[in-house]
Amino acid sequence: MSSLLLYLDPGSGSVIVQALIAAFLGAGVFFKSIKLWASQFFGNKTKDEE
Amino acid sequence: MSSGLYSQLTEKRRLIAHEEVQDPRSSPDPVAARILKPSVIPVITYPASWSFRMLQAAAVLTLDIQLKAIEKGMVLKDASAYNIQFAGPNPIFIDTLSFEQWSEGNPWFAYGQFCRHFLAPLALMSYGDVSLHTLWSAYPDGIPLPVATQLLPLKARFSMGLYLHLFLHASQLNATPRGGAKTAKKFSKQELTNLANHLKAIVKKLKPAATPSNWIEYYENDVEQAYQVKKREVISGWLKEQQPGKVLDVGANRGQYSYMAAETAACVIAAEADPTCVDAMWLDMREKKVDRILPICFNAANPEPGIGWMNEERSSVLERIGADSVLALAVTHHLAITYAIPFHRQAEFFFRLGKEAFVEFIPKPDPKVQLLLKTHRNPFDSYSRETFVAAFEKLFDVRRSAVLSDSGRELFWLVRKPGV
Repeated sequence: MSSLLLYLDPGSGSVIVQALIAAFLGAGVFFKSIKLWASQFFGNKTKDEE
Repeated sequence: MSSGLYSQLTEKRRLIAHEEVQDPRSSPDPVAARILKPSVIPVITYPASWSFRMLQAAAVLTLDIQLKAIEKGMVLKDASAYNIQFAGPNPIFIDTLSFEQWSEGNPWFAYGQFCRHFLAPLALMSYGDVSLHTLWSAYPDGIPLPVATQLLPLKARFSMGLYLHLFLHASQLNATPRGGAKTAKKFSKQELTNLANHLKAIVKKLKPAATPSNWIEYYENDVEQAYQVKKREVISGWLKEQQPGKVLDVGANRGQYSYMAAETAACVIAAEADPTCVDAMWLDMREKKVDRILPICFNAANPEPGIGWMNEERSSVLERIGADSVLALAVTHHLAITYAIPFHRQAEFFFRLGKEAFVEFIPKPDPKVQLLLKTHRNPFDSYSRETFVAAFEKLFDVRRSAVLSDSGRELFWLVRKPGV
């Protein structure tokens, strides 16, 4: 089994993680924009984003 | 070239400039299409010699260039730390051939390499110890993520960024993509931008580990004033007379004498073993916009070796830092007592590094030597001015000498003997 691992493309795992993180960051941006919208909708002053 | 990326990056001195040499047929390689001649970097350094903040600056530059490239529909096809060099304290990207057109939907294939070359060593130097730049000698292609995550303490997992890009990443390295290439995720330009921005934010947030340093305030607290004044006066006079083009300051501390050398020399390498001092020097030089001095981490008793294939893929630091003039100020007693290196071997070392050298001798009764002798057994009985001079005179002629302190500290201006 371990000898099989040597033949795996070392980049493929990085691509999987990149996809997960891209989705995660996308979700982050999505929730941030909802938060921003909600705070504006309810008349709060918008805080500066970091 | 036509995208304007080249001119944008070279104007800000972020990418190395090159000229196109006229005739590709002059190349020994028959398939050469174009020949590019890059401008010359005075000293080549590798990440094994960079302090935390230098590697951090190199990482930020790599990401900035990736972001600029994405804007123009390109990507960096590799994210190697060796693609960065330092011109003085400023990082510059030297691999003009790293840019390639991005095909819609592709991930950033250099992402894994970026994490090995930048994020993992930075995390280790932040959560572990600042001296871990030395790991590069063992891992020429960056720190493997499973190794880095084993070494990092538990609290590093609680940093969201490090968890995602190092720990989660390491756990997925041997995973195979489900469903094959057809169902693989398509990446958008925005996602690549988000990824680079996220990495940049994580890298910028990391701070160097607080490693105790004996040397950071050494000159302020531990060195007698009259001696310093005299020493500065002698060295300044000799440098003006010598007019060296390139100076190597061994044991530079905070660069006190490197700054002095930079008044006459076009290029000064400030080599110092304590990475905290190197970091402080680098910050200081960036702030003062001193572009003639390059600070590096350098342990004279164990210089960065040649690594990779045949030990020649990346040459040893000694092959890269030769100079017209070497400053060895208050270092020979450390080499002799702490590292048990006799004076004749030290003479060979400085002979190899420079055509001329200013070497300081610290006599045995001097308080600093006595301090060293408290914790180290005297490795050789013959620690004296006579053995020192005899050892160096085998390889060098003494052009001048000057006594610097009441304790008998003495500086020698040595010139390589012709024909040795």
